Amino acid sequence: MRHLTLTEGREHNEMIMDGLREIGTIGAAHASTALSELVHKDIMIEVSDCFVCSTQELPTAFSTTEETVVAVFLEALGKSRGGIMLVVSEQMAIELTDLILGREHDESHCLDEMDQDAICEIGNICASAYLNAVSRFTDITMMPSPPGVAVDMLRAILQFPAALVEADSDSSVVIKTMFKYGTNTGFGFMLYIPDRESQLVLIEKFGSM
Amino acid sequence: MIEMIERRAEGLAIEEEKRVTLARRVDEVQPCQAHYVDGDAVVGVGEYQVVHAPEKLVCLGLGSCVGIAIFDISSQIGGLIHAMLPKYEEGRDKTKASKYADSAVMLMVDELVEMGARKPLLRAKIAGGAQMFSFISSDTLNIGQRNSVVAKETLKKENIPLLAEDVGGTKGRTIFFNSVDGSIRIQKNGEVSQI
Repeated sequence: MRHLTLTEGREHNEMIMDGLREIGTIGAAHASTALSELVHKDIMIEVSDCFVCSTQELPTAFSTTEETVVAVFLEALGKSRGGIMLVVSEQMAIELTDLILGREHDESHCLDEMDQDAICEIGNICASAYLNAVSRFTDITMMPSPPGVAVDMLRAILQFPAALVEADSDSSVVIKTMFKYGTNTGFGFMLYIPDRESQLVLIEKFGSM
Repeated sequence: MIEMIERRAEGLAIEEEKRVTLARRVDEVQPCQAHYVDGDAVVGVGEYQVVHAPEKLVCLGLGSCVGIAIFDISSQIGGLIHAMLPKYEEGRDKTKASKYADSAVMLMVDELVEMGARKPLLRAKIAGGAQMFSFISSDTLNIGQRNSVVAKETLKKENIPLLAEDVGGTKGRTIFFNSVDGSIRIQKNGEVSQI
């Protein structure tokens, strides 16, 4: 494996981080367009955040609360691998499924099986759009695995991708993009965790630019 | 952030032949900074902590991770592990043995004995190892199940009787370990139980 050094200078590192952030923005833009079309509502994305954290800290890197969230996780398969995840607050999940299933909004409604399937499909569409954009950029074909959905504490959910990446490397690049829609308080974000090989590919891509 | 990238870069530059042998206390150089919730020390992901009674320990949001409590009630000493992966041998990162279920058990047992616990009197309880995402059918990807299986195997090898367990399922757990009586209070899906 080729040795890669990121220590050539701060400017160089900043450039790579900017590049990775850009990947997140491109990917999430595609995902949000797909989602907007699906629910006929404008869904905005915010500037991506990109950071490197030890996989051990990943489960606690986002929130220290034990708030319940809904997450859809897909594995990127193919030459370049990684994990991709759509995380939305429980409230946003209910609002999105209301829109998709054409249902009146009901405050007392809880997520049932049908809603989970709908969310799963939303995650599938977003993640596929995201991965498509990344593959087009990197010239590497990536296929999403079948989606899996979980409704639980964010920490507990994040342990799964963390453990998957952990087996491979001790730190990981996390690209996070926030979703915003309307004036609602619901929050959501997409996480892309490229594996070691993909990290190298991405870094190389930006290094040569 | 720059620092972190540099650290990451060093990691990339060093090739795989760098293997740290399993020392007794691998994470001695990185003292875990415990933070507290309601006066109970939180055991972070991939760490373990040992305490004298009446201290309590907490693992917040155990998903596929497994929480292993080992204690000797007669000497009022106990510890809690928050293990992330099953086997040290299979792991890539050898610098932190406390995050693997098997090596963490061995490390903590040694430490408990050093603190004054008597090894034949050690007892264990485990909780966690859930399968968070329902789509995974292959065994290799079911990290939660493998974590709890390896934890049980290791306890057996160390001759520590397993008194109780609450493993598997699809829901995350938050567990509170009481070192006085070795009980574990489990919060799962809004319900509270005790083992």
